[in-house]
Amino acid sequence: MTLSALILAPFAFCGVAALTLGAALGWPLKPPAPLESIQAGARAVGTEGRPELTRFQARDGTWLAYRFYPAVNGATDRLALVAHGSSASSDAMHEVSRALAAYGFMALAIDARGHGASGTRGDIGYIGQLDDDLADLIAHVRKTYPAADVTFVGHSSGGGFVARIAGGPLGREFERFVLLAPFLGAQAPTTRGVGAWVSADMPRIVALEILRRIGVDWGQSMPTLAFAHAPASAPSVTLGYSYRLMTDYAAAWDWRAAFLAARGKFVLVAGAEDELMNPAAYRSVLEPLGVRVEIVPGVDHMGMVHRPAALAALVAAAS
Amino acid sequence: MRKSLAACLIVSPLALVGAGALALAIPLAQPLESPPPLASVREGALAIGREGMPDLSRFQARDGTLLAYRFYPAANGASDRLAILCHGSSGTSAGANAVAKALAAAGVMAVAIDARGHGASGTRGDIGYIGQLDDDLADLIAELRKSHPTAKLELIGHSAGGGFVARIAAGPLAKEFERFILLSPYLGPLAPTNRPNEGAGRWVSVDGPRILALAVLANLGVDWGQSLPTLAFAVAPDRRKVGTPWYSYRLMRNYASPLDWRAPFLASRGKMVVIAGEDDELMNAPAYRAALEPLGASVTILPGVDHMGIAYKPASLEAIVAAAN
Repeated sequence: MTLSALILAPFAFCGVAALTLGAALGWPLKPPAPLESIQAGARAVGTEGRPELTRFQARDGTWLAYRFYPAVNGATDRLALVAHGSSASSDAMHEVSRALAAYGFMALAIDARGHGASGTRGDIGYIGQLDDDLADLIAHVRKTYPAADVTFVGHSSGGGFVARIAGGPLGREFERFVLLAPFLGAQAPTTRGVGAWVSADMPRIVALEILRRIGVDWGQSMPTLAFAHAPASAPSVTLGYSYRLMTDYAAAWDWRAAFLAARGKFVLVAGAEDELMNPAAYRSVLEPLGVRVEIVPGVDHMGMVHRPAALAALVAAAS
Repeated sequence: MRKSLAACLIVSPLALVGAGALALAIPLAQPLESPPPLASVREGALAIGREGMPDLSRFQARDGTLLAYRFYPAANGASDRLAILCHGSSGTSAGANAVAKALAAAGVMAVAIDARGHGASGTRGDIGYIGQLDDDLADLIAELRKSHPTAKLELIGHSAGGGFVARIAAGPLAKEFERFILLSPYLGPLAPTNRPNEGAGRWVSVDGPRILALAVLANLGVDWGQSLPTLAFAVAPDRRKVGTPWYSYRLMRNYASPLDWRAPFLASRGKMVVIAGEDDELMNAPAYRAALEPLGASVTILPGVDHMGIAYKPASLEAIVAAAN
């Protein structure tokens, strides 16, 4: 009995682990009801004067899309890369890009891989691929504009992505980081409550996190986030994220690190009426970390990408 | 005694699950390595050329992803027949340029696709789920039907694309097509029409243990891990931005014939045409005749043509145009 128990025990241990992980991975994911404030905000962003998509080839051969807005005054010394929010695309950043271009920036609004016209919707190939894509994009743009100062602008999850890049090796490519109502992670004090916008499959996320810690990347293409969209919105948005896209298009888990790593280069602009983020916390938490924080009255989360007051504040912040 | 019996009753099933999990985890972890580049495929791809190749067009699939294809209008302006062309494994629409031009010159509109996971469609080497390529094809047909509501459709595929054509011929989309033309088709690992995957015929490395583990999981209804790479192709280093160097499990399973390679020929009896070269270094050309003619397929074997030659040699283009008419 003792001997057989000794043999069986490790297998039984593996069995318990497999069942626990299996149950967590199998946890179902359902989207929240469509969120009107986000849909209305997206509709409010116009299409007038929107440039056609341009494409370049990333290192894996995949073609990635962006929209290029030349500076209205013809200047080529400043370039702003513009990253959209979760589930969106370059479309959502049209007014932001146009405002930057009117002010003398060349603006380049990306469709991050997994969104819009880049890659397959809702997934990427591996954690870190968006960093590689950004490096490839910078190299591509540098061919034409070798000396331009580059600013990185991101809205919501795109702002989280900007913060993550700022804290990593690509951070030195940028003169300035402009965060528009950034989502710095569910655990950050600047997040008011994103439950109405997104469902997260927490058991699955924890299981994939554990597997990742032990070096296992299997299953990272499983969906872990579902956004508050109707299924019929599929043509214009990304309905959900895989674990690897969710992890990559986001702030680092230690959201403070980026602000310390690139101290002095950050500006944050958010609306006082943001329904997903906590504007007061941006000030109280990030100003001590050296971030310049501008709060725009009367603007909500999506208002940041189209309301004239928000655009004026953003342009002032970027210059 | 009772205590140890109870312990045994609890521990033993758990131990069994644990052993099962390990038995799956170990093969899943088997690494996949690329074979050395295969000169015949590289040279064939280069020989096809890009002269007269139309620019990419794009349409939106049901998941919102933009998929790319090239449209070749019929030279005589006819719009009554349309052929959809599927490239081989790791290829793109460019690989179908010669066949598409030949069809267009003969009065057949041609649409050469970049299947999702290839070329300008989606992220290279992967798709979202097994069956997504079928959905993509249905969405493409709906898109083409907007401009050509009554054109008769043919589905043509080379190599793995021929396997995909067979898959479609066996499924619900088969009724959309008048005819299926398979060029040196890869009909799956169980078909007698393959040459040994070695030497001059070694086009692909196969992660057998991983495929087995994922197939077991799939049979249990578990689709986790299907984005893991299971095939690596002998793509030359200078072609890696053109050719897709590896396939995930789900792309491998979807861009292929069903494991039961006979099923498509029985399901679409009378509509199946196979054309292959006698000198094919990857496929066993005489076996097509022996295996597929009894299933009602029309089989043409061309002398002096190899695996890539079927996609551009004049004799082959002539045979394809004849079959499409």
